[in-house]
Amino acid sequence: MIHVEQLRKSFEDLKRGEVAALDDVSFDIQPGEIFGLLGPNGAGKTTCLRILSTVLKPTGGRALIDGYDVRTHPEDVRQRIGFMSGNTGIYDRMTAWEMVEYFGRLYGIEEKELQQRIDRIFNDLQMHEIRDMLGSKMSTGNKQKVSIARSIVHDPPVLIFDEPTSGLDVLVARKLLNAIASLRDQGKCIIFSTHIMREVEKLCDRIAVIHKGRILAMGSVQELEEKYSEPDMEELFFDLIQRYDDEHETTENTEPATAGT
Amino acid sequence: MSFRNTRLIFNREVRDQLRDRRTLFMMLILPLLLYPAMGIGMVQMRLLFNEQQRTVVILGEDQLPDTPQLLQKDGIAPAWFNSRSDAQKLRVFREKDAIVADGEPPDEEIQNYLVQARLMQNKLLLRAAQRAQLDQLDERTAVIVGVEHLPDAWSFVGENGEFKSPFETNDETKKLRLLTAPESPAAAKTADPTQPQAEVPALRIAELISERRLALTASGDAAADRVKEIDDEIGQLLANGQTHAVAIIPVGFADNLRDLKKRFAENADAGDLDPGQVPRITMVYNKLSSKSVGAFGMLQHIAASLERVLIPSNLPLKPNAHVEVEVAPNEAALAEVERELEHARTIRRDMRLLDSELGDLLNESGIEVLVVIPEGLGEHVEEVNRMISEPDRNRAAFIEYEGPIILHNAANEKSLIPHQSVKNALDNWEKAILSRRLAKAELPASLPNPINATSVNVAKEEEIAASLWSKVFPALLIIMAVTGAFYPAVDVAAGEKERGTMETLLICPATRTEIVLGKFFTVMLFSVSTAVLNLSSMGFTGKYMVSIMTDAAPNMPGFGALTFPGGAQLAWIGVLLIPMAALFSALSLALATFARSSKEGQYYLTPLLMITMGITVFCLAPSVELDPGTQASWFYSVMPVVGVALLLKGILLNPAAGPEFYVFAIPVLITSICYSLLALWWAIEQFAREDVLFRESERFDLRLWVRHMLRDKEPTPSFAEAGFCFVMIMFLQFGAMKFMSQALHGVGPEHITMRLMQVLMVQQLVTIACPALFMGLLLTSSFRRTFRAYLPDWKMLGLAVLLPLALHVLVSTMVENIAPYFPGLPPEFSQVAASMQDRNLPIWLPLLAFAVTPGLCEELAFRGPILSGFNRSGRMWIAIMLSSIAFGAIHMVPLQVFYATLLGLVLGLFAVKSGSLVPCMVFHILFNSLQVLRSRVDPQVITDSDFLRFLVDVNRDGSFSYQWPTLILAALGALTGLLWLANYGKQQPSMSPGIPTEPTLTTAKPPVIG
Repeated sequence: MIHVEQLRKSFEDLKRGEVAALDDVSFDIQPGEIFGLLGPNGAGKTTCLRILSTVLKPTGGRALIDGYDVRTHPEDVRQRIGFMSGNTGIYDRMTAWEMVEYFGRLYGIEEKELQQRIDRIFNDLQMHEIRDMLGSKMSTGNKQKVSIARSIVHDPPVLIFDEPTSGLDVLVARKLLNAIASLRDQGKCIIFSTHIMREVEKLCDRIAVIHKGRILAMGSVQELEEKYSEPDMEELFFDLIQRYDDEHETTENTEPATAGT
Repeated sequence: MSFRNTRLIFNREVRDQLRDRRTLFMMLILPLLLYPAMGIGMVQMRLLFNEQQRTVVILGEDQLPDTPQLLQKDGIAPAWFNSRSDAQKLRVFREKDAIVADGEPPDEEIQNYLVQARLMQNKLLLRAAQRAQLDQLDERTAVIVGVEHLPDAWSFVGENGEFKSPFETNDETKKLRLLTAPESPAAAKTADPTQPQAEVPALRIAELISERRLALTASGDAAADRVKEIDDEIGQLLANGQTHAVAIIPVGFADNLRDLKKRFAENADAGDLDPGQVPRITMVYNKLSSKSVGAFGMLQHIAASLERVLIPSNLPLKPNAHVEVEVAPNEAALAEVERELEHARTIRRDMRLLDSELGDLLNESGIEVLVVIPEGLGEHVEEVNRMISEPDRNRAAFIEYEGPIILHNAANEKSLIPHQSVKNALDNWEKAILSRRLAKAELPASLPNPINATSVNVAKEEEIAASLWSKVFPALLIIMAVTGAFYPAVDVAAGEKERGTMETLLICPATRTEIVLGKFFTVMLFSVSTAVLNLSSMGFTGKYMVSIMTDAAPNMPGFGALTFPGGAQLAWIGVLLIPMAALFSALSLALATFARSSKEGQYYLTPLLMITMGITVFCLAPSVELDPGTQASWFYSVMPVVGVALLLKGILLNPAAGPEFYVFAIPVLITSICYSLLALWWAIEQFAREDVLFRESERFDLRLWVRHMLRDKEPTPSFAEAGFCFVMIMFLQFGAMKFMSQALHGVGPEHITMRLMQVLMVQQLVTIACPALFMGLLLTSSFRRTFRAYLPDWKMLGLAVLLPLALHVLVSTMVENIAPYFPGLPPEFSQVAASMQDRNLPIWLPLLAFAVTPGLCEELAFRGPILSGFNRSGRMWIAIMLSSIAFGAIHMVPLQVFYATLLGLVLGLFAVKSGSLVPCMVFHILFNSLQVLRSRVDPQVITDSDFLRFLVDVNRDGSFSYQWPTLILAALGALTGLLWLANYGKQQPSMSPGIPTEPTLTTAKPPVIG
């Protein structure tokens, strides 16, 4: 369903010059699977997911979603994904219903079907009491609910969640994770980024540890534990990052020395 | 792209804006409440000003003449005011008011006012005394000797021997004390010996002058010595005595003048006039004494006005001559002058002090206006009245007397307004006195107004209204269209980023273009409605206010009913508002998209607002208008915003304008639509840029940025660097102007052309080549790629040699034909053009200055880093267009800008297609060389050859035009060449189409080379 192949993305930076936010990232995700992108802040998770959602254009490699290339067919891709992140806020001066309805219309859903579908989603997410509440008046949890409703209103086969639980309290986060799990059960293909181990262990079928734009390890939780013979996910994560940083630092240090001789 | 999405986004944005209190406030509350509130405020202010009474104190009431009566029981009689209600706005206090019946306590307020007023009166008296002293110091004395010899008609001598000139006097001549002295010594002796005598030295001077005349006719050293002695004595008398200048009327002056006039009337031949017979008044002064020179100047002025009156203008004589002597004043006199100057300075200083004291006193006293009636005013007025009614009146005995003083402070409105009404009352009162005098003297009442011009105002009410609307409406429309676009644009673009909903919108299926269009239409809707609401609110409020004011003062000259513009004009406002609002909306949207937050958005949009304000003020200038007769109008009509504003101004001012005016609507509308589309395109571009949408808040560090520029060099410059290069060239050119004109200053005409060419070459190198090289070397890593330093295809080179020949014919013909539509050359540029044609110069010099140097330098810059940088946008044609517009812009003169831009397109195409700068340079040098050569061809060569005459036509002024055969050949050649160029690289050309054009063009060329 999601096919990512040698994806690269670099930015201009005043201080550091050209910076690679993503370097040679490849993975595949199947329907009915939750794929977790695990990495520290600034690892490139958001960049990767933004490319998948066509908001950013890759500088190299390619990414296909349901067979459509994000670079050449961004509209078709957007039609087939639901995207939610800490940066996809909701409008302050729109009610929950209007907000979901608006995006439903942008997805081109028939008016009658749209109303039914929103009604069903509002039922599922228990949102009827905030139906006519303006975005500015909502609590963070409710806002998150509206965001989820917005991202699934067009029943997309692919869902992309970029750190959806950040800033939520434990109760709301738990509800949200449950909602994501139930989406998987509906057969959606889900990619999910986080820096919280617990969520990964609980939710993800497969994970990729990403750091400084590179995938350091990929596989199911068990596979990784076996491969690196480290039963604790958290330890494993730290080990991988530590090892990468050490290697990288040595090469960085040796490079100028060789250049000098 | 579907309009469904655009409509959805538009609907949401509009609803969103309408739910925003700020937008509603800007849109509705402000225009609907602001103007009525302003109107009410104005009415209130008027009332406030009108209702408050102002304090006026009148001193010296008992000095007023009895009739007509200026004062009534409680102040100035209302009859004297322009408007009777003015009388009620003044509280008038007089000395009489302070007198109260016995037993009653005196009114302290009035007492206080009067004390203050008397204080000020004393100061005023002091001031008047000082003024008189000053006048006396400035006074010069001149004596007219031999007044008895003047014609009878020239009897300007008063009873007391003072001179009365009824002719032109000015402030200067008033300072002249003119005395008269009869020439008989006996009369002189009778003068009062106690008075310092001005007449005595004058008579002595007269004697000396006649002796001098005799001495001058005699010959010999003794006579010359005598003249010197005489001059010395005269100089002493003039410099050190009471007399500063003397006019001597010779014996028999009147008779001579009469004879002369008679003779001239009989026989109007001036040729046989004996110079000796011409009567002359001799004026004597000392050139080294400033007082004497001053007195002489005044005398001359009076003499000149006498001459104009008494001597027929056809009489070829000037009856005054002057003798000047040069004798330095003695020390005593110099000291006296110095002392007088010092004295005058002191008095002036004292007067300034007094004035400021008076000002303080007036401000502190609470009196707004003080009127001081001088002593004896009434008596003087009565006396003159009496004199008038006497049957044989002596006009010369009329006396001058002091008038009342109205003390006020013009910097204070509280004082200025009552001053105005007191002044009006006194003026009206004065007129009444005058008309009484006229009646007494049995003279017509119209005597003071011998001409009495009446001005008739033919402006119709609609015209007055139209002139007002034509000023207010376009300005308001523009300002409100910008303001209306400003806030929604910031909210829908930067605000969306700020609230974190931008990404939500970006991942919806709508394309970026659809999103921008949806937002754009929203902004435009608000821009249009703000403008319309403001305009109508202001219109209705203005009309209502005027009607109120007209009711209050029916005869107020004003705007009449302030008729609204007609339906057709309102429709025009609508038609023109749309593209203008679109332009502002797209610009604001693009700028706001760039901003990260609403606050930043407002910073970015403020310059837009300022520029628009500037343009608006420019358009309000009365001389800036669309006039079918002037060429500048066509420029105005294609300028953004200006065209719309001026078209609207014209339509509102004169709705009945003919079709020749409405023709301007075509360029105005076409260009406005183009500008808005360009701006919209820019907004969409902005919205598609990742670095704009996901800009991070970062500290701007100049050092870091420069280091980044120098470190992370790329092979070719970036788009922004190319733009910067162009701006740098423009700035350098601007700065070089001063040095250029300095270099040309003071160069003789024989060297000017040479110097001009040197300056031009230096300018090219410094302002164009240097910045380009600097940019290329410093900021790019590949000099070769930036400057396209590659060897071109030989076919390209061939075309670069041939194409100029064809294009030169076409371009020069086009320039000839369109030149009248462009403004003329400024003088400096015509000088350059003239130097190009200077046949005295060796041919290589203009070629070097006008062809080779610009060819190399300009190509280096405009087809070098500028084009390479613009080409980074990935759109070849846009890069070429931008570089040619930049290339055109540095040519400054509109006509040159126009065709240089066109040629820039060809040059840009050469550069991009060949990947080399060489063909561009070859083309440019050849094209310019042809221009130079063409101006140096001898017309004789062409007129001598039948064949050449077939191709080229010699105009009357020696310039050439190409004949039709040449034009057709050139057009065909140019077309083939350009097509081949445009398709170069797309497919392998089977043969070079450049070659067939060669024979035709070489035949056209010989005349050019001559």
